Amino acid sequence: MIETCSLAAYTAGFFIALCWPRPFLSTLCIGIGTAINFAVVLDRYNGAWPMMPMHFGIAGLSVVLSFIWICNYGTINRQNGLRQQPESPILLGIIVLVVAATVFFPKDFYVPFLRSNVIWSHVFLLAGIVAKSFLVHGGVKAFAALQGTQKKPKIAALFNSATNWIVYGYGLLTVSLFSGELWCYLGWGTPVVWHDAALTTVLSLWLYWTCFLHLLFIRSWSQKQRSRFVVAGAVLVLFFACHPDMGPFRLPFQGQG
Amino acid sequence: MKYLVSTILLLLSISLCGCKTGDSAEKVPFLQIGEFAINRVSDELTIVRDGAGRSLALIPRGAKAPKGFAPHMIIRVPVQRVVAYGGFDVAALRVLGVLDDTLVGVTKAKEKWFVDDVKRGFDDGRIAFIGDATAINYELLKQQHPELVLTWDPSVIPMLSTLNIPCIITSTPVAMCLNARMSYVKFLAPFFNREQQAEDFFQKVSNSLKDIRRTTEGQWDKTKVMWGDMYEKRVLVEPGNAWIGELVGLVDSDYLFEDVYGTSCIEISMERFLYSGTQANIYFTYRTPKSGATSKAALARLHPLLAKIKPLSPEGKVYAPLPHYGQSGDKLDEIFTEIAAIIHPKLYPNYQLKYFQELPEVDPKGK
Amino acid sequence: MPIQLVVRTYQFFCSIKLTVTLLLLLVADLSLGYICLQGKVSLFQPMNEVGLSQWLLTYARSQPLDSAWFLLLLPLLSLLGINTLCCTGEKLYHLVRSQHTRLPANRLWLTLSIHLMHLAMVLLLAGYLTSYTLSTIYPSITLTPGLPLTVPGSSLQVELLEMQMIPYSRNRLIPFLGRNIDVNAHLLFKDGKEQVHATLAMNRPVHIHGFSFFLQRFNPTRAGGMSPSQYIIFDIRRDPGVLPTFIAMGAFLTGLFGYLFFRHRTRKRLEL
Repeated sequence: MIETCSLAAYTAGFFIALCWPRPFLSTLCIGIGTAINFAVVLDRYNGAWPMMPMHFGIAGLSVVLSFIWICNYGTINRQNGLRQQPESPILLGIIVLVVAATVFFPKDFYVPFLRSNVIWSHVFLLAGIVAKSFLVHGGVKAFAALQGTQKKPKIAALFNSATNWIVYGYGLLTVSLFSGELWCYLGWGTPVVWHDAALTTVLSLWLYWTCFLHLLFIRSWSQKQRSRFVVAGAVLVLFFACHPDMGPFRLPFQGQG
Repeated sequence: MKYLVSTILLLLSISLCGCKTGDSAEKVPFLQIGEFAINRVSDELTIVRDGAGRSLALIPRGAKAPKGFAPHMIIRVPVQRVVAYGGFDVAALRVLGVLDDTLVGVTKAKEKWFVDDVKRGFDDGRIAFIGDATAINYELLKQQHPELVLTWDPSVIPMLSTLNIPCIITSTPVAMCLNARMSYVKFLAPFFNREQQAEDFFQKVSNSLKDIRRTTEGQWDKTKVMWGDMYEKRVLVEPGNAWIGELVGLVDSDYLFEDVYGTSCIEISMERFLYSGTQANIYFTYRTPKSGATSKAALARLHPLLAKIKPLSPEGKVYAPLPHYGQSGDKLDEIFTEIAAIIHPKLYPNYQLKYFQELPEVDPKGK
Repeated sequence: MPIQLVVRTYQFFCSIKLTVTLLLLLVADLSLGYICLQGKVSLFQPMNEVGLSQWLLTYARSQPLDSAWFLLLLPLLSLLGINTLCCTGEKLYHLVRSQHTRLPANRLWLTLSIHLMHLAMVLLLAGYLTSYTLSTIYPSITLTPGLPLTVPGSSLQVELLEMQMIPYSRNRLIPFLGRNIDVNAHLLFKDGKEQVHATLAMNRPVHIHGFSFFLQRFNPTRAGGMSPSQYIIFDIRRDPGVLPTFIAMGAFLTGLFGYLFFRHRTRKRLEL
């Protein structure tokens, strides 16, 4: 249960970032957690190859979010501290929760299925994971923009940055959706199968963010309202990214063969 | 915009109400039973969907063949000669009261049958052993002149098609839930015009389930149950959507693979099986005493990792199906009651097991 | 009066607020669908085989509560399609009539990319609808070597010549050791004097004479397994909705890349 070690490292990093002004130490902990998590996830993917690992999304999400945190906040932390980047601990908190969900609610017990032995299934999965991570990060930035302590130009910058993340996330989500449809056609003979919840959730998220992009053209919506919309969307993304891939509660270190 | 939303909601509610009234008729025009379906298009035509998703036409004897169906996809009812692969199908014929008159071929030799009607059929020369399921003797099959073959093996379809013998695939890609298991006879009923017998059987099993529910309701001491097995390379279990998962929930107990969804005998990871094994009190194995399930020690010898699960320790209990269990689909009420009695022995004092056997810790001496 | 009604209806459908409302209703509906789908695969799976109209009259009608979200999805998607078409049509009309001279090149390309995405969306929805209403499907056809069959409703004959098994070649997944993970099924198609050879495999359909063959299952799944018989099971489909769907996907992606590219350039220009 090496995942538990990564959870411990992430949790330590989160609390250090939150309570103790040692940015380097928190970055180190998150780095260690990410390295372990990435190794575990890579091993799982490699294990299932050439098929697609089942219920892998939540594990992948934690890794991509970690990379986003390291690239965006790991070094900045060292220079400016947390006060300049309020979204950093929020994102860290989300990462800890997602990793905890993979450790305590695993659903990795299904054996891969043969129809996933095609490149489009992998594009569907991976593009979807990266897209969801971008969208969650956009939501985190919008949440930070909603905090009352920020100055106006900073709020605008945060919102613009959130929009950028969302636009690219939306692009990747579209790639994921279309790859899913292509895979669906090659495997099942039709571009959409309505009995598969995975496609329903991706389509639901895609329509939500399509709606957000349209909101940018409605002048009656203020930036605050749009930010709230983005935060709600990030919650929806987290729900649809995590819930289908979560099994029942399970204590780590038990049932090892 | 408000009007749009309210109109959509109104349309939806109207459609829902409209649909509900359509269902109240006694002989429903459309019935879905798990993966199976019966669509009564007219008095002259019923379209059935089998476990593989194929559509076949049922027409009365002497009626004109409908368009759009190949000859081997048309079944004339009531069917008079049937070949059945599975014990469960034979049991369904028994429920419908047509076994004696219609069954003409099976894929198990006489010695392997526990159903008296089938043994008698063999003795009378009416029922023939047409070869093992993996090696059918088509000459023998042809000699029996079947009008329908009930099989789980799709590989026989092309050959049967060339012989113009219709067949129904009775296995499904998703495990049968409790309702589907009880209603399976309703699917076979229109083939023999025996809807009433199917309904009576369904009611009988339904009443037994009500009794079980009444007896076991409000049990605080939750027994944890698992059903599956470990083989050399694979671990197979019954998923939570299977009838056993629902039945265990019905008797206020926990089925440890309740979250697993899929086909019957679904493959899962060994870690998950062992983890659930650390929590289970009762374990049902797929193996029969004939295939090695004679004692807990014997099971542990078959797969040493299996020894790690709690039911194999003296604290737990292990049950193996008896050989006639697979042919007792017509006794679903008794089987369900027996499982309830196994899970809650205190509520069923002095219950004598008929379909399962509790495995001793070690094999009795001399065996 | 009827002209006024048409104009008012057109104006109603040209509203971006309607777009937002419909999109949010769709999100809510699909989220509900996610909940309703749990354990209800058997209800929706036959739609793939019997087509939309037949499914609505049978399966959806027999289980209205579980399929209600899907019943709502259909009018919502239709309204979205009309709304998208009206909005884009109006904007394009104005663009052509008056504004194209005033817009800088990057901005013009950005606008055109967005419109391309919208038009692609309408085509995509039309493709889905065509797929589910006009397709002909023959599900679960079994073929064994040496026993050819005729494709229903045609003179096309198909024969399985040989099955070349592709075993799992790695050692990471214990349950897959010794198991076949794919097959190259060599097929011979005959139509009169014409003969065509093709290879069918998982996720590699065969298209011939307007029919598409999609492999569902194959056997044997492992060498020396319990069931040694050789066979493949496939679906035969004739789906006129697939081509528009894929053209729409291509157009949408082109529009999307254009949008991302020119959005980036437009923003850079504004920043300068």
